[in-house]
Amino acid sequence: MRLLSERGTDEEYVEAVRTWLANPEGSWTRHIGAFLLLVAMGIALPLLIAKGYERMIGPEANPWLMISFSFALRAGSPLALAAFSLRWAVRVFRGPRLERLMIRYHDELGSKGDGTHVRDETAADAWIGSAGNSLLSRLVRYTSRKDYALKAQTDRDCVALARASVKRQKKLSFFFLGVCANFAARPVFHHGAPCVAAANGARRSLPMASAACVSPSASLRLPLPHGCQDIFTDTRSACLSGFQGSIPLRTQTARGGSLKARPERSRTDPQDLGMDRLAEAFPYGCATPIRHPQSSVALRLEAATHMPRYSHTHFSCDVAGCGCALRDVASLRDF
Amino acid sequence: MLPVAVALCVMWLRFVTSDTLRRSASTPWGALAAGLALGFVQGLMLWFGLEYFLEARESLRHPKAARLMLRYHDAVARQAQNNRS
Repeated sequence: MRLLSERGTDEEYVEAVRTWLANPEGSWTRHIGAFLLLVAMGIALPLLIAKGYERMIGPEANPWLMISFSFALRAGSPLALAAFSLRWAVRVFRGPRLERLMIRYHDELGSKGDGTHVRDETAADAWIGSAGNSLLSRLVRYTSRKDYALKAQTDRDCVALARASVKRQKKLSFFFLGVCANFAARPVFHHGAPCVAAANGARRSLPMASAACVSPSASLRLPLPHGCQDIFTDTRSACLSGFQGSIPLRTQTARGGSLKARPERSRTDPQDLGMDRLAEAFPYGCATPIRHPQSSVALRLEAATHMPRYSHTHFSCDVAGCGCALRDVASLRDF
Repeated sequence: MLPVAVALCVMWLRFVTSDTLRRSASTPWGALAAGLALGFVQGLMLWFGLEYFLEARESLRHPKAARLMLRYHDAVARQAQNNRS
């Protein structure tokens, strides 16, 4: 980090700017490379998540593990992003360091700082100029099209526009504060409104999720809003793929009502997430090949990569004395 | 930042392969901590990625303002040196 850095002394920052001007192409390449690497790591992270899920799903699994893991996973990422937004709110409020220093040095110089703009060529000019009509050149022109420095005819104009720019950017900090609050509230609130399932926080919601684990059919009774992607969706998906076969279903509620004899939900009902049909089609808790939009990336990976693992719940072996887990290969192929 | 991100990923891998997330664990605290840590690492990835992207974008900025800042800085430094001598 160089141009946007707030670390180090002003002298160090000035040297960093000199380095950038001496080799702007290298700076750009280095940072874009790091950005792409981090994107690749971000893509690889769900694989690690799948690894975590895998260790928590199984016949002897404790459902609270999955519930806690899903909830914490949903909370951790927004908290980091809230911290990011808060940091940027402070940074934007202070203004870019380059402009701050330019104004400060200009004020220290007094009237001597104002003069006609003198053009001095640097490596940056050479780099941008040499790119010609290439894609890179057009990219540079596009990114700097609103740069106030390009409008300034003299140094005095440039400083005045920098002052206005810093002042204008202060308003952006309120935007970042709003983003920060939004991210911070995400574990509990969704799409701008309190989520019905998570409205009362984890304390009240987790027992409901536990019930959802015991019976996916019962979980459909939770009044989840359409399109809500929260911990419970994850949890219910996890139940379908892991816990359903392992935990015996309750046939009666505490008040004596039957969980199974519930009214049929219309398929056009926006609250119908297709879980009924999913459970009917894959009744033994196998990973489903259906990519329903409510499931997490990890569970999609789970479903896509570990399908054969569950085959022993579907097929029986006819060969006497055979102890293999995957017994009827022909049936599996037909399946 | 990058080494920190890599170290966090390695820590996470070691964590999931330890006994903390064993299926028969009676308390969910390990899973809670693991989920929170992983979520935070995910957020940090986004954080660092965004910062590098913004820095790369800043690198594409026209050098005019930076040159002016350097010229003022050098003038201030020269003035201070003259005053001292």
